[in-house]
Amino acid sequence: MSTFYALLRNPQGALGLLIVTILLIVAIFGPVIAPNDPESFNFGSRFAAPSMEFPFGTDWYGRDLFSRILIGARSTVLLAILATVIGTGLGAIIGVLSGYLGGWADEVIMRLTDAIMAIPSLLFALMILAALGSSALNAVLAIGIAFAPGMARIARSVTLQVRALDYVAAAQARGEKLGWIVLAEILPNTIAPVIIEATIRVAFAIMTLATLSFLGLGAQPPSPEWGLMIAEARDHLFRSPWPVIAPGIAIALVAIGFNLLGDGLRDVLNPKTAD
Amino acid sequence: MTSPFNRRGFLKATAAGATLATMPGLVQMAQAQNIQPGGTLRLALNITPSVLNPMLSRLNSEYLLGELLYSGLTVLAPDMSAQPDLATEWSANEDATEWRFTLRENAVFSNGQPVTSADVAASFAKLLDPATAAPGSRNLGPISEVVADGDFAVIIRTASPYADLPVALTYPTAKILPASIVEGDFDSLMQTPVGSGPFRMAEYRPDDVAIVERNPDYFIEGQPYLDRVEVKSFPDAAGAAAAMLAGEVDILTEIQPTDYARIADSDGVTGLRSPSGRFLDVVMDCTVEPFNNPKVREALSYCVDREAMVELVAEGYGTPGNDSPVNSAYRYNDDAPLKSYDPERAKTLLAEAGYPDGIEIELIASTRPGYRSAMAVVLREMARPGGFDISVQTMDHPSYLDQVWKKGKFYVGFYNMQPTEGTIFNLLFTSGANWNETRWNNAEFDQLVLEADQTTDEATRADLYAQAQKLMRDEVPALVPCFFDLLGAQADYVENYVQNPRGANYALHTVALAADAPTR
Repeated sequence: MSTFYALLRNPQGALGLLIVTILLIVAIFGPVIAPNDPESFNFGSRFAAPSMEFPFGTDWYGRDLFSRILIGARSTVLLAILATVIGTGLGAIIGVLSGYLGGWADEVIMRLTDAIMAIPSLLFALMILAALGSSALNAVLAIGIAFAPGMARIARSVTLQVRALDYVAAAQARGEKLGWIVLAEILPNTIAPVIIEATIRVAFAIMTLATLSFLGLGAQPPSPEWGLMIAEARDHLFRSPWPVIAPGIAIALVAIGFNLLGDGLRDVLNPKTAD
Repeated sequence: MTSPFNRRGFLKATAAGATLATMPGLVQMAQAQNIQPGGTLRLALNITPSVLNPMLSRLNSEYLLGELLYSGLTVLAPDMSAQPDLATEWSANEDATEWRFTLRENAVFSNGQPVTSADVAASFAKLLDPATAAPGSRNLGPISEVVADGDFAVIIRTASPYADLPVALTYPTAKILPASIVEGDFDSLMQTPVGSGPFRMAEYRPDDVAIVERNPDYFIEGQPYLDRVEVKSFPDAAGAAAAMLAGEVDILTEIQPTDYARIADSDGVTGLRSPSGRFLDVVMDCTVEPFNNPKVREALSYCVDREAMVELVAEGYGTPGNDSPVNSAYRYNDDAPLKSYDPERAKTLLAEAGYPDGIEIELIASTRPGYRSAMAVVLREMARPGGFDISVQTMDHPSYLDQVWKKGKFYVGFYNMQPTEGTIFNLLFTSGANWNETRWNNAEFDQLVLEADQTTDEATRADLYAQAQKLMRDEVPALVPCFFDLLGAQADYVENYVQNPRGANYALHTVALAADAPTR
């Protein structure tokens, strides 16, 4: 709880928290709030500018952009969080294990992750999608896997400090198994930096997911996924800018929100800057 | 029956920004007197030509180069009739199985040799040789033999009567090459063109530009009017459009429907628009569930608001389709009333077919061109009240060609206009079609198309093709919701450029630049 109040006192953290909270509410309740069916056409009002009836305007089929953004929040944001959770979980376990084992095993695991990190994460995700086929869930999986090596590096470096501490030595002396020491002793104590990193990564995940959908490899039309909305709207940019602007601003806001929250958490959770 | 030629002329004249200069025929003749020879025309393509051998070309951009550098026996006019190219006149025997083509005596290849009947015979032997693997070799008709009849005439015999032979010979790969090269170093044509076309290759930089210069020995007196044509390649449609707006090119042969109004409305640019038989269709495999039941196919055909489809998918630059690949751009369109949008009737038909709760199905659409997936999304929305729950799956183009095209059971196809009704039916819908993707295999339809191919009498053919179109509308092997107009643009000072609805002919040897064209 004290972390929470500290976060509220931190201007960046408070703003980030606000944006992310609103976003999560939209993601969860969006379909209830949305005034229109996101897929139904309105032949009479194609390319409408923002108005009372259509707060964000309409697209080339006359679909209500406001409703599409609200409903698209779920597929965009929740999927991005899911991708980050996969990447973080996978990366943290690999990193902690590698750091704790040390020596020969550490060398092998870290050189492997170095090799993977040499490939840009978008390219790596594209490679995975080429193998799995394109769908929204495969895109989430691809981003998760692509994120894992970076997380593993961070988790490992924290583990290197933690493993030298007495309670680890005590666990070893008690004769605990490897799995217990890694998951129950070390992992919880490396969690703060990992969470901060993960929060910032969510923003990257949203952008990567949007990029993949933009390239036609993630969500499928007519899904209101934000990246896909921009990709489809590009052809109509010169007739009406709203179908590009609305999801573009949404993506930017979310990315900023998660980045601010991550920065806030970093300040709050860091013992040196907390007070 | 309305005449397609008048309709085309009318639509052109009413098209946004179109001036009289785009109307073929009359105006062209009137202008012929005061034409200004000379000048350089710059033309933009967004698909780069890579195959220089005219017999092996597959893309519109390659057809364009082939047409500049080579000649065929006949050439396709904008009204889909065959006009003289190397052949000046032709005639057939009574049952259209033996044709005699008279050749020009003043045509010369760029290597100095005259074009003779021996070259024609050798070229057709090469074209029809399966080892050449020339695209479109099956579109030339049932040719069994091509023999020389003196130095400047050839006899072409067909295995069965074939009234459309002169039109079929306009196929872009059917170019006449020197016999010495055809029988010798055929592969050299990939680097060094040797043809009798209106222009000669001056410079070729792959992925960048192809520059051709006037052929002084061209067989039509006074033509070509232009000194040079520069064919520039751009990586995408947006780049080509930007170059047009910046005045860096004089002609755009293709424009996306979403970009057309913006380009046609800009200063100094005239939009070009011709109704064409180019179409998107929704292919249904008639041999597998649920499309082996004709009622399901019929139900889906009532789920299409065809006029709205033209508006939403072709941005209004198109004509509604009636589930046959033939529209008013062809000679024998039956002009039947459009099928209505009737989701209630679709529901009833689905229930009769054994699907009272509707059908869930996945529709696959390639990402190129972009309006494929647009049509899929629009169809999904239109078919929802009719009991069809369609989910759209997009796919990149190479994967689509590899995994889905001609194999899938429900996908969006895209085809160019063909010069004749027979060609398009035999390409896609008869049992023996090269690309029989619907596997409809309707013997009655095959018979109608075959009879029409073999008949020379116009009224009988019109009737046979009308019956064939009706059969397609009733049985719906594929949905044909809309046809796309050919969209292009030219600078105002370009004269005599006429769009050919087939989309593969350009006739640049008749194009000229007006006196007010910028000199370069």
